[in-house]
Amino acid sequence: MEVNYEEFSGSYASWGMQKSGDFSNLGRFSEEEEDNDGYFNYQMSKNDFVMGLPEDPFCMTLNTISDWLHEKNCHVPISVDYKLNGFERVSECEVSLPEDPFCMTLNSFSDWFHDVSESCDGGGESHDGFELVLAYLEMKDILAVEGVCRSLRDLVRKDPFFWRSIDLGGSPLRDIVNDESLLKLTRRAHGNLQCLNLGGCVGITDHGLMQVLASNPRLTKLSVSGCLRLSTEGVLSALRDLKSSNRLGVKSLITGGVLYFTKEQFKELNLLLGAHAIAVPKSRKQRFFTSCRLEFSLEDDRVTDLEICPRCEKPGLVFDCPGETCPLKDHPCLRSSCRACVVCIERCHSCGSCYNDCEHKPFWFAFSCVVCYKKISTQLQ
Amino acid sequence: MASSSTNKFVLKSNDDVSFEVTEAVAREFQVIAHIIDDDCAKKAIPLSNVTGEILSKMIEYGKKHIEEAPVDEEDEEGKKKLQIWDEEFMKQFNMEIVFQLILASNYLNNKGLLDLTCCTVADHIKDMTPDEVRTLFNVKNDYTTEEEEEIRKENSWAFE
Repeated sequence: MEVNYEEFSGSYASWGMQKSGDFSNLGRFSEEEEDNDGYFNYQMSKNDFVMGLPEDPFCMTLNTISDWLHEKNCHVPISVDYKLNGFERVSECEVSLPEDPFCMTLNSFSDWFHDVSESCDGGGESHDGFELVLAYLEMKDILAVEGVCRSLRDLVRKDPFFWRSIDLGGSPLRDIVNDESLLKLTRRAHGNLQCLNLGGCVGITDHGLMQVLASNPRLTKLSVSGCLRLSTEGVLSALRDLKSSNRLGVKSLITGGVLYFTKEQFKELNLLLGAHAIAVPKSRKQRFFTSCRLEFSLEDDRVTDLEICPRCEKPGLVFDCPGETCPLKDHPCLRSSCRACVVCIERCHSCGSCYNDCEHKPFWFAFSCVVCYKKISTQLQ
Repeated sequence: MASSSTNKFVLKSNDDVSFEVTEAVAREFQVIAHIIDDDCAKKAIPLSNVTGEILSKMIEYGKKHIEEAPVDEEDEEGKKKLQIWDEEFMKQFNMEIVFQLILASNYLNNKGLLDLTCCTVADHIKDMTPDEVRTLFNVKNDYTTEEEEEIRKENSWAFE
């Protein structure tokens, strides 16, 4: 069965976490398994049951079945090698299968399943499809769902890919999460945590971050944007300590401008994250003040969202100008160009353009330019 | 190859209800699109996991999204119109049907409908307590007192 992982993981992708890659790594969704019993899994949507099936309940080895098929001299698309694009083959293939070769009526089979579900669910309720919903739930709601019943708890806790990526940016939990609860949350990944977005988690301290990093050596993407209690030196020393003991997995760090680095610290940060000290990225995606401030993904080969500002030559968040008529946009002299850090160039909070364009003059007492102010006021009217 | 507007395909549900749809609508479901591409769709396409009731709703969704598809990325008005229709469309279903739609849209691989249905469930659950979720899905609380206490302890920080 062909499953478009990219499509499937849409909601994750919208977190900008590129979860699609994670999916393909998973045994459960691996191509191979998909071909073999993916159909079955999906049909039942109870992977655990399929896993929990006795290996050979009717003492029929696969050989026996295939021998039998061989005798009948036909190729039967039984569910084991069932491919979805083989529908036509199914309908055309007139095979005279004995109606009930193993003397198992379908009823007794489903009864058996029912028994199994009774015993694992306790209540016996089925939650077919709920695992598909998990990815759409807010973290707080996930924790609420966990408290509902045993089967949903197991679904939440044992979901192999859900906990690989924890996104608290934009979650109401970001205001209340502290070092202890963050550690609890990340422990659920059993060391498989890969992406952690702490956007706006104001309760996290250097010590808490250090603990999380130390217990999750596979964590590669980290965002601390808006974590106001973190300090540059604290974060650097955590990274340094882990690097020296070879337990540092982080390859990408989003600061969101919350940490200020000196040139020396910036060089060290780049080295710690595995890039060249004065990293000059080969590819650089244009970054705009409005859209990129809150983004989790860099989408180019940089290791942090910090760059050396062409104007002041200090590390900072450097943004491009979206204004189409801006005279300084592509200025040949880098020092005069309006591609610069937030300290050097003031920008409209709504459209992100610099105020050098005659169209985008700042509006008095507002964080937006004249154009955006007009737009907003007409919308309000 | 004939144009996709004239090509018709028959989709057959597991309770033997057949639906004739245009190729464009059939292609809304990726699995069916693959069957068509592999040239395996000469006869009726049997969909063993979908009932007639669910399939008819899915086709209704597919048709609407073909007919009223936004002209381009910039077509904000078209997108909004379709979004409002989506919301109205989902209002007619109870939770059981929504879950059947989730499974069916996953099975037939229609990302739009999967997103829509899953978001509907997520919106329902939003900000609910475990007790409210139990009522919504008609689920019994099968925890022992100790288990419940363990979970409460583990997650209490999030509900303070």
